[in-house]
Amino acid sequence: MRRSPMAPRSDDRDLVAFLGGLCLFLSTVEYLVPKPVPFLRIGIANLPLLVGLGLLSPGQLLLVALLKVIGQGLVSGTLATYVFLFSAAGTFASALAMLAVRRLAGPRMSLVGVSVTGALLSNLAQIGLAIGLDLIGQGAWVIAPPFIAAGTVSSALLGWFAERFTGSSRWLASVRGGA
Amino acid sequence: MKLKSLDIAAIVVSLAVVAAFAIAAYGGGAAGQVVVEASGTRYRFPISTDRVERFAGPRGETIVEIRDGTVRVLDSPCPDKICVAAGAISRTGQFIACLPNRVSVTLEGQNAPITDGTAF
Repeated sequence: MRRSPMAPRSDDRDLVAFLGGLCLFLSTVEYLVPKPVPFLRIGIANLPLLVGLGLLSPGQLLLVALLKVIGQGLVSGTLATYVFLFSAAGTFASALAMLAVRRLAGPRMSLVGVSVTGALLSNLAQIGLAIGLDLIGQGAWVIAPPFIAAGTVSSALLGWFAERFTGSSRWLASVRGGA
Repeated sequence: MKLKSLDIAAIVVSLAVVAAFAIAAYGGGAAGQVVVEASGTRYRFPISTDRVERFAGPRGETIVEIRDGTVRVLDSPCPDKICVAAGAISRTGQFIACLPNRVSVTLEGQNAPITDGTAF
């Protein structure tokens, strides 16, 4: 891994681009996985954001979030639809919440809690938007409980994976060492 | 890895939000009212009275049938007919939506409006 383009000399800009690209790739994977109902998603495209929390400045992390939103829009073909609004609102609410909670909680919270908080705020933002725009009427209220419940489970699992990954990745250690 | 105290707090908060939404959305008891939203207008019908109603949307008419305590969409001018395929619903909190024609059918409990959409 030491010879990878991300090896110690990499600067932050490379890292933002790399994590943004990873978001695009993971969005594709996410899109490939069949969903029995629309709200049952795994959210793996958030993994680069979780990893980036410990590496990037808040501004850079939001830039990765922007790349993620655009990447998701490209992959799913929703870039020019109102769905994109939901994607953007959810992702930025999540990124801001994760930054805030990471700063406030510090070492008392692992990436599991950070991920769950991010997912909760993302889902609340999207439901709030659905209610605000009144796109599906009462449906927004009806769909909210399973939507948020599914998000809690998937984000906890993703946070657990991210915690394991950041604790054991040599690539990450080399990036940290070089920064 | 072990969960830290605030991890558990985050999960508990998240589940509490789920519970709050669940109570707000499904807490109405047995289905008593059929609420149809079409073109920005909300209509209410008792589920106990059989009838067939037509609602105008941007694509045409969505036909909703109430019969024997159940509600179904008989026809709607949308390409996928997901609302028709949804079949009949009868319990509080269930809903059918025809997104292309902007018509939604929701079942509420006996005690009128469950949420007012102004929270948050």
